[in-house]
Amino acid sequence: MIRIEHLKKQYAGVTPLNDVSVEINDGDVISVIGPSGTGKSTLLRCINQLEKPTAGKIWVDDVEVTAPNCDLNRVRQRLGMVFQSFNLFSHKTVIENIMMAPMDLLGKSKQEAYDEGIRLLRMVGLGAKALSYPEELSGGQKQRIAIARTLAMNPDVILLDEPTSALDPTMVGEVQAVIRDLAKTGKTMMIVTHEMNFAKAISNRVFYMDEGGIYEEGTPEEIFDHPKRENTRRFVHRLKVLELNIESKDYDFIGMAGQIESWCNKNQIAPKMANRIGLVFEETTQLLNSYFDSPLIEAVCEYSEQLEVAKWTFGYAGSPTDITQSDDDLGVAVLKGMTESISYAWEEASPLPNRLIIEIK
Amino acid sequence: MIKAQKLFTIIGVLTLGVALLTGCGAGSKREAEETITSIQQLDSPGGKIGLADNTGDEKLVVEKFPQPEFTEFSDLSGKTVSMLTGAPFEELVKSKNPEVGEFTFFNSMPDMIQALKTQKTDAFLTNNAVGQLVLNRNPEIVLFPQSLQDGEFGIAFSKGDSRRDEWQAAFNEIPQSDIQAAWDKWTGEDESIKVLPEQDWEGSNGTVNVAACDTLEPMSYMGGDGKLRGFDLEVILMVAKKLDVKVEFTGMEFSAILAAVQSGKADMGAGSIIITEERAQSVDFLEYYPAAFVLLVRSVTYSDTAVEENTIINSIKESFNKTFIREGRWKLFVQGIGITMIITLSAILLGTTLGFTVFMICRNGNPVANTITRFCLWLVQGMPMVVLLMILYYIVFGNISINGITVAVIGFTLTFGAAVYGLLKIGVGTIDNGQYEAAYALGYSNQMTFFKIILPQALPHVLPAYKGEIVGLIKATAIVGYIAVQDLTKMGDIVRSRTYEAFFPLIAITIIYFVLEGIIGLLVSRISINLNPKRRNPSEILKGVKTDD
Repeated sequence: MIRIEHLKKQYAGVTPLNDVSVEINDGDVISVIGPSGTGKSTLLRCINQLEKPTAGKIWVDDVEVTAPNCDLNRVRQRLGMVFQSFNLFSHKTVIENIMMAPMDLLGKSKQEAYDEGIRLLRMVGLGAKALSYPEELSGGQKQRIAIARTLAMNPDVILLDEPTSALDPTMVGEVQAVIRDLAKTGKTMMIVTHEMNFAKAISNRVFYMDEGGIYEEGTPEEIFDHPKRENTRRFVHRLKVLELNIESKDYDFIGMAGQIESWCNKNQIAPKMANRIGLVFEETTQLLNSYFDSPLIEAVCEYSEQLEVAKWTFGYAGSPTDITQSDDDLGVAVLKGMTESISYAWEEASPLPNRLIIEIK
Repeated sequence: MIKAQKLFTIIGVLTLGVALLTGCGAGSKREAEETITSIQQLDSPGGKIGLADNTGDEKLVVEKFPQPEFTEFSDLSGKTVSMLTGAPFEELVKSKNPEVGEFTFFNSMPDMIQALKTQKTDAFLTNNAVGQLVLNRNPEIVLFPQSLQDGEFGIAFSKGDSRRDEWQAAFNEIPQSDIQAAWDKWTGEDESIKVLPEQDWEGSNGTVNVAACDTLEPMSYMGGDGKLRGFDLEVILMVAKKLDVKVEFTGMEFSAILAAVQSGKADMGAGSIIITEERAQSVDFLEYYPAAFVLLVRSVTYSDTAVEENTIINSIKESFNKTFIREGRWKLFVQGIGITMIITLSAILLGTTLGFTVFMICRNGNPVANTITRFCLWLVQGMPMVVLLMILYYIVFGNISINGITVAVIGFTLTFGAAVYGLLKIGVGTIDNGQYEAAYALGYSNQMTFFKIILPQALPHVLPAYKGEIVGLIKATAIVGYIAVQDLTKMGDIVRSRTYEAFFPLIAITIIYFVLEGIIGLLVSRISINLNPKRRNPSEILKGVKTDD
């Protein structure tokens, strides 16, 4: 069992982990997901102390690894790690890569280490490569060897830090298959990954990391199908979000059009869709401006990469005003022509109680 | 040569420059002519000489006698005049002709002779003793017929050393005839008698250390047996015997002698030192023999009559004979190779150990160790090697009795250590951080990670450069002559100072250096093959393991 209390990691100018407290139980298979730069890898690397935390404590079973007098080398033997860049020892053959640590650190005989090494190599499907050097292997093969090397130490916990991120798309499958088999054996695992389907398939717990910590935690169903919090939802649906605010009638119309265009470009939104996103914003704000002398509008556009749909949400102040019921038939007709659906709602409690939702396909 | 000596006698009598000579054997005619020429030049500049062969028929052979290229000081305007490094005689020459074009300086007489022959210089300044020998051996060189200045040869003592007066007094008691006999012995033709007397006295008044030039025949030079000898040394022994003092001679470059005396490395300095005002300001002198400054120039009339008989192969044979066989001079080369190898191998072993140790101390980023190391590296690497050696020899170890070889080993260990440190830093720096992380994550300690994972990967990267450093080191040791160490290059100089041949010994030591570099290079290549883990045989990798297939 791993227990983390108030873990904080600070670099000059950035604080990826602000205050993390969590427990990892034996047999857990945990997927760690989240946008880049949110401390997913840092969390893993703090557990085996490749990164020294700024503050906080971590226990692995009863050993406090953050204690200054901790025998780290001993603890690390029980915490296997698989790296994004494999990090095989390039001066040793495949079989030696696997045999080295058990012989050097666990005092196994060469024969024992070899037998175990060959067994593991066959398990990852690379029994024939025992005497190859790492440089002769493909990325997927290297990563499978790296997993075998980690397993040779028979660790209690395996930390996998983006094991498939550095791989060619054609090789992701072979490595995932090995990890999938491993997950079934009941070993405690923590895997940082961007492959959400994969995470969903293998794990019993998912950490969504954002805003300096574990932003939302749950079962794969909870996180991927029914995310409770906004950032999680946006992330699992791979939503791209743009926010624009209008605070007067003389808002910078040209500037905002430019912002929308560059946001669309950045997120590689198809030109047709990008065009529509821009037009919907233009039409809606013009309509709204005709209702209010001093408009206060917050416009949010969400684009789902996965579904290739966009959704504009306009929240605005003032008395209940449903522009879809407007008599400016032409404007509304243009709007309706471009969109999938338009709906209006009144949310009394919100500071911007008018809520107009427009979906574009 | 006996006949030549007869000629010497006859010519010595004739001062007006006209001589009639008889009894010159046909077999050694050329040799005799050379001798006549030089002696004639010394005694009666520009004169005419008649020579008779052994038939007794008188012949005029003026055209056979070389004439100097320059005869008046005014001829030297715009010309180059050379002298030994450390000889401060520009003003003297300029006082005779202020328009002398350029002064150049050489470390040894053979270099200067060669430069004169190849027109790199037009005249060189030397003393009467050396001048005579040069003339005897180089028919194409003659005496410039104008005298520069007369003076005294001196033995140097450090300024204010009371022993000078004591030694001068003892010297003054030696009969002049004894001194003259010694002079004749060392400037004479008979090589067999040129040996120093044994120090058979008790030495109850201690031992003095004498810095003596090892390349200035006949005054102070190294013989074929590797021992120093010469007129100066014999004079010193004569006085030492009177004072009952034992003498130890240390051979070195002429330019190093006064520095050795001033720094206290030696009690006295000798080596054809002519007393000048400037020198007398920095050291005190014991005066022991009259000296003269002479200029040597090329001959315009000399033609090498022997060319027809001397094929290239013969001349190479002769050079080989002179350089290696005569007086057993090959032993000097063997000695020199030994010294060069001792310095090189010690510096490789100690320097590698030093560089590695320092690297291990600095590896984990200790700021104090790194700052000290950076400072030392800056100091050692910024200094020309020869300057570093001289600072170590004359200043750092100036007052400690320590031999030049030890100082050379220390100096080269420092620079080689710095190189090894740099190489390790580069080599280890090329290893990806992921290799450390993978090892740590498996549970390897810092130390084990370095020796098992990092170093084996770093070494193959740096071995080629290491080999280069070693070759550089062997070559760099060629400068240890500056601190009185007789290495291969220095031995080459010593042999050149005897044979007065620039070409052959230089080529010989070049070849020897190439061979040494080749041997060491092979050794290192061997090591690098063994160190490269990827060159292993598969059966070696799984040695002792039973595989089921």
